[in-house]
Amino acid sequence: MRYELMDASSIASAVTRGEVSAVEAVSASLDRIGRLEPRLNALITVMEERALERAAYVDGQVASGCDPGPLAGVPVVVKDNMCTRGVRTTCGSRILGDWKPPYDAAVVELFEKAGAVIVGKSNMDEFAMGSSTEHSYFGPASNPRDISRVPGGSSGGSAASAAAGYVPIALGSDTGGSIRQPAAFCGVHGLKPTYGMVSRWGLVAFASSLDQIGPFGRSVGDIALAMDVISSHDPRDSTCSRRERPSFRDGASSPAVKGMRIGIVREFLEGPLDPSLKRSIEGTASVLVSSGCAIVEVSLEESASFGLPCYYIIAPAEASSNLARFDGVRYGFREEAPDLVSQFTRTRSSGFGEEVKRRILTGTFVLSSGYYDAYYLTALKVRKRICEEFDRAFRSVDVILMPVAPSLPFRKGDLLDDPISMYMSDVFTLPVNLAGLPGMTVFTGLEPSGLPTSVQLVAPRWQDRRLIECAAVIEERFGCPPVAEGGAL
Amino acid sequence: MKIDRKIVERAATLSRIEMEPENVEPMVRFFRDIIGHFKVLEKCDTTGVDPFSSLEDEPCPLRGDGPVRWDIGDEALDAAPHKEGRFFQVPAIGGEGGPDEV
Repeated sequence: MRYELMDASSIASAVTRGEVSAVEAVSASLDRIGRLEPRLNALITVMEERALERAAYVDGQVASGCDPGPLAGVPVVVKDNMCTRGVRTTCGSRILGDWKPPYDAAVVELFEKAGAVIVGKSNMDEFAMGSSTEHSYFGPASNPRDISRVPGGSSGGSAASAAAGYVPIALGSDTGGSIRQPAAFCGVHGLKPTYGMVSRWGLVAFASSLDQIGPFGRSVGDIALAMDVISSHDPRDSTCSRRERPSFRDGASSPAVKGMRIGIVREFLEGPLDPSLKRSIEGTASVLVSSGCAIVEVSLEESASFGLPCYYIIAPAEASSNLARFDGVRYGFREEAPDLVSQFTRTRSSGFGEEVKRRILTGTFVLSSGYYDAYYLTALKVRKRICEEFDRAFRSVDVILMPVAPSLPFRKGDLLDDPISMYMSDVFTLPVNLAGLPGMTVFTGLEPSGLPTSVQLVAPRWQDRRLIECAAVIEERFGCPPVAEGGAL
Repeated sequence: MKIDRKIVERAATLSRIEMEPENVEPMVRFFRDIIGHFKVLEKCDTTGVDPFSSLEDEPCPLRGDGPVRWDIGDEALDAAPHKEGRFFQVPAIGGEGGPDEV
């Protein structure tokens, strides 16, 4: 049985019916990881022992007639900024290189309760700051569609794990595009839920007003299944909403898109955009029209003009505050020094990588006396304007269709010395985080070069299910993302 | 505003990050680039906008005002680079008299 080609619900059904064992499914995943990982470096830690123990536990549940859960025996990967009890959680950083959390993140608890088996912690840009997974202390990850190219970031390892068939579902976090952009680069689906939809208990914070956890998958059904498992209220995260969640799987299996108004953003199609990605937008619009949707042009002028600078003030400001806790006192790496302040400084100077230092310094600057009003306070006001602009757009449309990134995946090293150009990679995704909206990358095909194309769908807050419904219709036309194999690997 | 070494070095000091001498000039250039991008925000009309409004219309829930038992103290201490008994161990603030406890 070729488990790498199966979706999560097929594996879970087969395990639940006793047709295959969870140990067999998880062993197949570990074998594939063992074969491909030397070329991909998508994982920082492979959790072989814990995975096989968990798989045996799931098999025990099946044997004893207990319900093993909707993800029974499904191998999954979680990004290495989500806490796993007793298993190192590095955030791709030297400063947390050997840290083993004393508790599991809420999403880890929920996945394991649903029968999923975590096989690895995925590679990422250090503290989720980056768009290429090249800023990892553990070395860059590769794109399984073309290993000379980046997988995107910061959740590049999770996207690569799903695309390479290590697992059908992986979890990432998205602060400015870190699920949607790597999903686009690796040719899988990826959903950033509404801010407050998924608990962030146990997610190492980057920018707390923007961070959100979401799934990658090779089918819309698997994205919906993962969302049904992880989206619930959690009192341990005060930003996690008490609202009732819809059934995402019902949305995937019975999409009701007829009559939906789909917004096309003029400003996002006028700027630099790879022609293949523009064609994807046009092709997707046609598919939605043929399913009974209407296309409406909308303007997001302020998001297009001000989103990037607004984000690169607010996110580093929050990061500089959140990362102040890494000082070598309570956990992680410590550089010894004769006095306390020198210890803080030496530990942080050698524990953080260059991109993280850039962002901490930027954040500290915009929050510092004399500059706070001019930069940070202004950015907060602009953020409010961007939120209002999306609200206005959603008075005339139900879903917005736009690009994920301006380009196809770039080659490793191409933007490494040009941070501002790297930041531009998220120009279409980060306004969505600023406004707290749900956004989804939907795979639309492979170019003759083998590189994937995709589109981004954005909905009003708490209307994540609309994204799943539209994505299901788009997938019906363009097909599920195939597993990367053969020449590319 | 002039972006120079002094501004970068001040941000580094406040951040408890030591800049290698060869990295200061590249950081000054980066600051000039990124702050140049920030300038565009001056074109956005933010008159009368409240900067501290929430995205969410639900009120922020408050925790109960009571003690919460936290049972992972030993495990948390095990993660510390240095500890002594129930305390994290660090060097003295002034660098004299051996390690202090915080």
